[in-house]
Amino acid sequence: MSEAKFEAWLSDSGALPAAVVLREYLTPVEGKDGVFFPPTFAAAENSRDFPGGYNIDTFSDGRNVCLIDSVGSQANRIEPMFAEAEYAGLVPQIVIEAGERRISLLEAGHRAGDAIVRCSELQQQLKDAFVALKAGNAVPLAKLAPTSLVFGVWDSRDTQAKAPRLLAASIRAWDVDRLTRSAQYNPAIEYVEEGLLEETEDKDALKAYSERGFRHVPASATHGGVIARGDIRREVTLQLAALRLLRGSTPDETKALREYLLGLALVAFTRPAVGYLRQGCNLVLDGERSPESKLVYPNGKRDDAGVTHHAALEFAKAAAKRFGVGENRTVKFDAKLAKDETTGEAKKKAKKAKK
Amino acid sequence: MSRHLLLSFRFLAPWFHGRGDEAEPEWPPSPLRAFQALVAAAARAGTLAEVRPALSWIEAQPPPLVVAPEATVSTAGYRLSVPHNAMDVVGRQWVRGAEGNAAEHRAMKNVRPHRLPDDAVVHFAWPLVDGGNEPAAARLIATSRQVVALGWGIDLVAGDGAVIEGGRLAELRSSPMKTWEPRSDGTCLLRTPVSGTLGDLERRHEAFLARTSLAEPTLRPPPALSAFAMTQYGRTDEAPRRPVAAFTLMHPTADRMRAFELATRSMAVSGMVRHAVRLTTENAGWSEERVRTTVLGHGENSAPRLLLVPIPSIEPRTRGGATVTEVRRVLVFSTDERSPEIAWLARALGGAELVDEKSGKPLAVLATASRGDRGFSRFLAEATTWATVTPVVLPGLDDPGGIRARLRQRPSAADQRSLLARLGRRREGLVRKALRHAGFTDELVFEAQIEFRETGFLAGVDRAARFAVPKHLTGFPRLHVRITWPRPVGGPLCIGRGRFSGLGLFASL
Repeated sequence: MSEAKFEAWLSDSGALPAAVVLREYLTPVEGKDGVFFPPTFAAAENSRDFPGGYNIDTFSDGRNVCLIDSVGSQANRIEPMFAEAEYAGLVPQIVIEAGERRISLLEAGHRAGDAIVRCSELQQQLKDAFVALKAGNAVPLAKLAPTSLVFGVWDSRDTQAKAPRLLAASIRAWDVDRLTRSAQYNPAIEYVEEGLLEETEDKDALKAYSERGFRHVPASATHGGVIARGDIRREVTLQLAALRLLRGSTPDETKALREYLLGLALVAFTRPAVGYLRQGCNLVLDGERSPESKLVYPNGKRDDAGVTHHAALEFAKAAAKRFGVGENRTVKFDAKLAKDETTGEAKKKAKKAKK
Repeated sequence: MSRHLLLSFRFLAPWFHGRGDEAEPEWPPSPLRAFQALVAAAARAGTLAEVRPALSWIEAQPPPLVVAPEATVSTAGYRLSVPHNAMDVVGRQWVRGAEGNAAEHRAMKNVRPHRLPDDAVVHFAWPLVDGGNEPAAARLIATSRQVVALGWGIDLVAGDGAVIEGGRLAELRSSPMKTWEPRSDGTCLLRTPVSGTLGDLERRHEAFLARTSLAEPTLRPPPALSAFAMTQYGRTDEAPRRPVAAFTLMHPTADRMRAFELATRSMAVSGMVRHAVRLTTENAGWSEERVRTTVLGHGENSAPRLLLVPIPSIEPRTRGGATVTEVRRVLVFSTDERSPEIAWLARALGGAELVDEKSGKPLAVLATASRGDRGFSRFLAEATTWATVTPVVLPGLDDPGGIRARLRQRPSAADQRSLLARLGRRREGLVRKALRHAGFTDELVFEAQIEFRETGFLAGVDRAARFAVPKHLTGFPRLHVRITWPRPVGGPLCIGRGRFSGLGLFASL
């Protein structure tokens, strides 16, 4: 895939693809029939609406699909890759120091709109960048926080500027068998029998003993992972139509901006965000099935995209050089700019309690 | 040859997270949602001023056809823990040397998407009458290709558009695609744009931009969008829903519902409703002949007749299941499935008193209700299995041959079995006859699996013999019935003699 072909996706005319989509087939490291652990979700108060636990949808034909990693979770895994040595030169490395803590902007939950960076030395620069974004110029924000434009951002605490995500990825497993497991915690010694703790029938005391690991505690029929009888698939979408809506202040700036962001997005698109997702869930590419990437046109036509990570990275480096990557910065969090952690209500209560 | 403006949105992943009213998962996506996506695309492209005339034109058009595949709402759903944008609070704590826990600043977000087929596409089709507005259509087609998402931000789509002929639209509508069309009996309520929606969106956007800032952190939520219509849509492959007039029974002097015992008083309720309908139709100028046939049921069997059906509540119980209780509602519908009178009756009967025949005193008032009211849901649903809440009065004698008399003579076990089987077949035949009389097709009559007995199939339903029936029906056998069909059948379902007064009323299981 040549640089010219990538650039052709970005013009404003002609039969342009709307998106690139990628489907990767994954397998647990333990093997195709290995047990792996999906995320568990909290139940709602009305557990009939949201029972919690694994998210497994069953269809009328008996098939089911299990969510393994959501769009948000995948984005949180992918974005920090731009701090790794191989990719760090593609984006400005912005670090916020708050006390002893150091937070990379690549890890901030709300990206360039996150309060941790909006209440820092960068406040005015970011405000100006978001104002420019609202006015139709994305270059200032791309100089400061280009991955915010790739993964989407909302400056919810200030200008309300929004940029939709260009990249969305998720992982699902098909036709899973749900497993349960049981366990028994045994204390190292019998504390009561050894005379180290008083024998008691008091419920509160017994509960305290259990909480501190002094008693045997069974845990039965808890979540025991799943086995996938169908595919485990990672689906990634790169929205080219959204990318083509981003502009600079001149046609040349617009071209450079779009190529730069496309490069970043393609690097993120093509690097498998798999491996260790959580305890008991280590997924790798299925060596027996090649990933499939397609260009999708507005009329539904699909062509092979043939995008490789190597080609994406080469394109991204060249585009970053032409655009001019913003400077790395380490900035201090400014507590004076931050919201007081006690709300008006909490203050009233504290005052009342004192009386 | 008809022409249509077609705007299409192809989902790049087989999930749709959009929600309709009351935060319920929505499918198909509403036309208002598509309109908002066009506005957002034009605004983001910096072309809103040029596209405005086209958007103003399309918002004023009648609601479009929606062509989409079937989608399945997630059975499970899940809740995401998402961070509040409050890391400045945590940052302050860190600066002070305190721990500061980001996990304390999170909110739960409910997610229940629809699962779509792979490569799902939704089409919105507006007819172009008298040539339509070609420049507007061209603008909208170009804008549709800039639409990024339809639904939540993660519902990425590839948009497209075209002006197409009727033949092409027919191709797009062919199986497995489904078509939703605006229909007065439609049960799918979708938001649609109207003249003024664009202006309202712009006002809301301005208010959204001013909702809060670091300089002025007080939150000022923007007002909800109000310039849109709720349009009833129905699927073209589903039989039109029979129009019904729905009422709640209210106490005549207190602000509460009025209940009547199902077994002993529902006939009286039906009688009072019939009297109220008679008065209302006579006052509206209906001819004596029309009142006699349509309302009172005297006359030709083929003439349309009104069914005046008391509806009991079906209340859930804490340990699961449900129980049938008292009559608190009424449905009025016609043997003519397309009757135009029902919509008028729904308006005209609202506020009518139900007067006790003996005392002359009003016992209840009819309050117009929505057919979407939960109290009617089990009676208006589509289901494969139905069971009676009031017994079916069979349209004939089930024992003309004296089978019961012979059973009392204590025949042998084999003879007993044979006699009971004959009685059963006779009764089953009468139930099928009742279905035929109620207008069911031969196919549905033949496919019905029928069970019957003296006691009800639903908790709370009295024995059939305990139900009050009109004098002229006391000689006919009455039974509780459960029917199962191989595919869903829509309510309301009322069969047998006395069905015009609410006997033989079924609830879905």
